[in-house]
Amino acid sequence: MSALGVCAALAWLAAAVAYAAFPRRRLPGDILMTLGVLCGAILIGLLWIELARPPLRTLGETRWWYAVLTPAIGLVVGWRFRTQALGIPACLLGALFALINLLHPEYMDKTLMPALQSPWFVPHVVVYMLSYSALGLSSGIGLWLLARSVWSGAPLTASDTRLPHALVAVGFPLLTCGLLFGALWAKQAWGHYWAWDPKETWALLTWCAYLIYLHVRIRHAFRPALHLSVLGFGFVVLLVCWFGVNYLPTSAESVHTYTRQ
Amino acid sequence: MSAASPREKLAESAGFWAGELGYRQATLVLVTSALLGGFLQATAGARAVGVWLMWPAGVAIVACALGARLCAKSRLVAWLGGVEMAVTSIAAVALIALVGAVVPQSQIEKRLGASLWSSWLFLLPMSWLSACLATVTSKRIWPLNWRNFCFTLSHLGLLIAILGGAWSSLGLQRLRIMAVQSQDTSSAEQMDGGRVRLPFSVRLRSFELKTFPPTLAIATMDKTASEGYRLQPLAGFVKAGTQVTSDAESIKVLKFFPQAANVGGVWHPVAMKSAAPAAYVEVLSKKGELNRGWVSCGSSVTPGDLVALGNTRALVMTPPRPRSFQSLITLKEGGRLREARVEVNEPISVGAYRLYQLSYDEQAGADSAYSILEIVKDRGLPVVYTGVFLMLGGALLMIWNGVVPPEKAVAASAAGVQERAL
Repeated sequence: MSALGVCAALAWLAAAVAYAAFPRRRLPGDILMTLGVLCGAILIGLLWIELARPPLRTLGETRWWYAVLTPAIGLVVGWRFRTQALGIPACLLGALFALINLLHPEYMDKTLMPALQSPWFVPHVVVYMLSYSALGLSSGIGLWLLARSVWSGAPLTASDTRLPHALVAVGFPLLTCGLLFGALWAKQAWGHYWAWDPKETWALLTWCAYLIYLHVRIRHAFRPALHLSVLGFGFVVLLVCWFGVNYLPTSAESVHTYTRQ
Repeated sequence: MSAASPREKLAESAGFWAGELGYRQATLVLVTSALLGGFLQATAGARAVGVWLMWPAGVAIVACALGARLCAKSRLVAWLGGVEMAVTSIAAVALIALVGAVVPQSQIEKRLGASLWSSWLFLLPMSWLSACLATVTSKRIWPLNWRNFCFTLSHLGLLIAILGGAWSSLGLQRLRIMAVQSQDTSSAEQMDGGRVRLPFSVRLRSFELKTFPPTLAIATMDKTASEGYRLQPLAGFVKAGTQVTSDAESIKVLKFFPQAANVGGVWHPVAMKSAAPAAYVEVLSKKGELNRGWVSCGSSVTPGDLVALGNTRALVMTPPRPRSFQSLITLKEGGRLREARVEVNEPISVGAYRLYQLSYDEQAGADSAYSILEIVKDRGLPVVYTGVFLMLGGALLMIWNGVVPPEKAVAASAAGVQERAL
C-alpha cells in the first residue's frame, strides 16, 4: 500500500512541476493530479478493506483523506472556475500530507470503539475532511496572494479574492454540516448534542473564525488584505482544532480527539 | 490645561453615540457586558444564572425582533443588525469560549464557582449575539424571496438553536442510574451529585460485552514514561498461526485460547466469562535465539503472563478492546413490565426520558455486575432540532450558491452590494 502512497505523492509533485512549467496548458498537470487522486483513492479503499472499518479513526488515517481530497477539490474547483491557480497549492498540500504519512507511518489496528460504530461516523468525518481541504486551499492561496502583494508592493484588488472566497463558500457550509452532524451523532451516542468538550469548543471556534471572515468580507469588500488575513487566521484555528487540541491542557478532558495510534 | 467638566464629559459621551455607530460602540458594549458578567459572577457566584437571565434576555431579544420591523430605518436597528455588531459579538463569544477551550474546566469552576458556559461572563455576550441575530433576521425575513432564503434559513436556524438550547438547558435533566441484577432501581444521580426519583424503575437482566481479539506488543522499560514502560503495538489480532515482526524479533503464535486459565504455568482453555485470553508463542530473535512461552493480558480474576526478551524488554498481550456492549433490562412503569435492550448508539425511550448505555465495571469486563445508564429528559429538543435542520438547509443552499456559475455569483454579489449601498 505504501507503493500507492509513493505513486500518489510523486504524481502530485510532478503535477505541480507541470503546472509551473506549462502555465498556459492545464492538461498535463490535470492528468498527473488525477492519477495521484486515483492512487490515493485506491489506497484508502484498500486500507478500508484491510482494516475492516472506515479508515477515519486516527490522525494518520485522516491525513490520507486530506492528502487525497485536497487535490480532488483543486481539480473540481479549478475546472469549475476555469483556472489552474489551484493546481500547484493543491498538489503541494496533497504531496506534503502523503509524505508525512509515508515518513512517519502509524500503527493502524482494526478496533473501532462502540461509540464510533454509528452511521454518522463516515459522513461526519468525511464532510469535515472535505471542508478542511477547501478551507486549507483557500487559506493557502490567500496567504500566497498576501505575500505576493507585500513582495511586489502591488496592492490587492477585490477580484483577487474571488477564488479563495469561492473555496470558503463551499468549505464553510461543509464545516457547518460537519458540526451539526456531530451534534446529532452526540445526541444519539451520549445523550446530549453539545457538551462543551474541548474538541467541540475548538470546532465552534473554527466555525466562528470563518463566520467572522464571511461578515468581514461583506462589510469590507474593498479591503482584500484584511479579509485574506482573517482567512489565514481561521486556518490556524482550524489546525489547532484538528491537530493542536491533542497537545493542550484540556485534551485529557476530551473524548473526541483523534487517537494517535 | 484644565480637566474636562462633567457636563463636557457627558457631551463627549453623547457625541460618541450620536455619530455613526460601528465597531467602537460594539466593542464598548461587549467589553462592558463581559466585565459586568465577570462582576456579577464574582458577587452572585454559582446561583442559577440561567433563570435570572432568561426572561429579561428573552424580552430584549423579542423587542429587538419587533423593533427591527417597526423602526426598520432607525440607526440603532441598523447598528444592532449590522456587520460590525455581528463581528464584534461573535468575536467576544469566541474569545470567552477560547478560555474554556484552553483552561481545564476544573480550574475555571474553581475561580468562577460555576461552569464557564452557564456563567454570566459567557451568557451576557451570548445574549448580545442573540439580539443581533434576532434583529437582522427580523429585518430580512420579510418579504421572503429566493435571494434572502439562504440568509434567512442560516440566521433563523442559528437563532432558534441558541434560544432553544438556552431554554432547554433550564429544564434539562441529565441523570445516571446504576442498574443491577438484584433489585429494581428508580433513584438516579444528577450531575451535581443530588438524587432524583424516576417515575419508573430499572433492573438489569444481563450485561453483554463483546470484544475484539487481543493484540501483541513489545514493552520496553522506560523510566521517563508515566507507566514506567513504553508499548510498541504489533499489527494484527492474535490467533493461531499469526506471524508478526518487531524491530528485533519474529513472533509466531502457535496456540491461542480466547478464554483460558493458568494451571502450573501452562494455560488451558476453559468456558468462563472471567477467564483471560492466552497465546503460546515462538519468538525468534534476529541473533538467532529461539524462545517459547505463554503470553496473556490476564483478567479480573487471573494475573497475566509475558515472555521476557532480555532484561529490559518483554512480549506482552494488550487487553482486548470492547467491540460492543449492551444491557438487557426490565423496566417497571406504573405496574407494567417491559423488557428492553440498551446499546451504545441505540438509546430507548421511556415516556419523556431517553435511556443511553454509558459504561460498566471495566475491571470486571464481561462479568460486570452493573451497567451505568444515562437518562436524559430534554423537552426543548424539538426546538433545537428545528434550528439545526434550518441551519443544515441554509448550509446546503450555500453550497449550491457556491457552485453556481461564477458569472451569476458575481452578478448576484454586485446586486447585493448595490442594494446595501442604497
